[in-house]
Amino acid sequence: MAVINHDTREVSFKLVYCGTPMGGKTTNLSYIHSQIGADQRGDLVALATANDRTLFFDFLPVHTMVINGYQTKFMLYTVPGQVCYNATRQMVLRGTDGIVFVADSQLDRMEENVIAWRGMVRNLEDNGTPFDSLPAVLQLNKRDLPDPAPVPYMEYLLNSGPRRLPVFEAAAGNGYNVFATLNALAQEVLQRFHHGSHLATSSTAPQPAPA
Amino acid sequence: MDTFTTHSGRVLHLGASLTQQFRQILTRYCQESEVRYAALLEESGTVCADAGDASLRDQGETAALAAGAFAALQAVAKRLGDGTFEGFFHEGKTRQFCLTPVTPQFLMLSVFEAPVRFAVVKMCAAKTIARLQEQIETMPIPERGTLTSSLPLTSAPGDFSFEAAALFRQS
Repeated sequence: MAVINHDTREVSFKLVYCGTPMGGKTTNLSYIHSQIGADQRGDLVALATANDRTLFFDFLPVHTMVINGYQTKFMLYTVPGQVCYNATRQMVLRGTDGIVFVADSQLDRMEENVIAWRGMVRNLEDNGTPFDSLPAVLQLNKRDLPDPAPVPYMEYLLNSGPRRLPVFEAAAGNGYNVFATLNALAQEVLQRFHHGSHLATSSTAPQPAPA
Repeated sequence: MDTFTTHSGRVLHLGASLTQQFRQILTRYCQESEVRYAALLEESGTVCADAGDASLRDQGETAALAAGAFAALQAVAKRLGDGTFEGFFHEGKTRQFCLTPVTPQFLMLSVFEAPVRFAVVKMCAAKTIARLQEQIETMPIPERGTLTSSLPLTSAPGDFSFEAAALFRQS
């Protein structure tokens, strides 16, 4: 949920990266952390197992422009991808202002993509924030690996409903379209915030970057 | 503007004087209990107001972790059959802290160290929580739609747009 603090003159938003286990959610945050100047971000907090699998969440606070004297802050979270951590995912999704769904483009991960997608939608429903009410973007990650699934096929699986999300082909490992994804979501969150409604139409959605 | 709400518009709106009132209450709490640092947190991990040792303030990492830990332990308690969660207390060798619920949406973080005793902190925290609750409950909840318009994000209404690249740039 957006928090406006008139005393400190800050507006903060919570953005959550969801998606398939080992799909690249943490890699997205790590890349953002490595590329943003230290004056524009806090520490990357990762609660992970010894094998670098996210146990609870990763967290990275980032600041962006000052708008009419208010510093805009985005608190970036990831959720753990593994199926057994559903209760944790639901907890981290509480109060989110926007979603990045990170899908794995490897052909053998399509079923897991769909399972993760459905789980995310269900968790948001259970939290009382239906997915359709939230700004969201779809990132098709790992496009740099050999023989990725065709984009139309992934869109058919994950983005063929009445609401079409902006789609970004990405390779978080080398940073390709990581910032484009974040910027698109941040832009839509700010647009909806400005308009005072979380039911924005598709016309306000940012255009995806060229593949 | 001295209002807050959290629901229909999904915006928590903290007016300047409300935040100052929270801070005064927390400052008084720090003085009475000798707590080194106290913060009022929102459940999604945002610091609403704080007082005490400014060196313990950060960019939000502590608040996010504290809110996450609180929610996780609350869920554990519920699963183990205890629906009433009163918070938790960490007793470290050099520093201690406790997290206590204020309302279902807010919690209070208290950081202290020896020779301050947890029993004293707990007693003072109960009084402080009552004061914070009083402030929270007396605030009017404005109609949906009046919230975001009070923060002018642009000088030209209806002309609000960002260049995507302007938000976050790679260094």
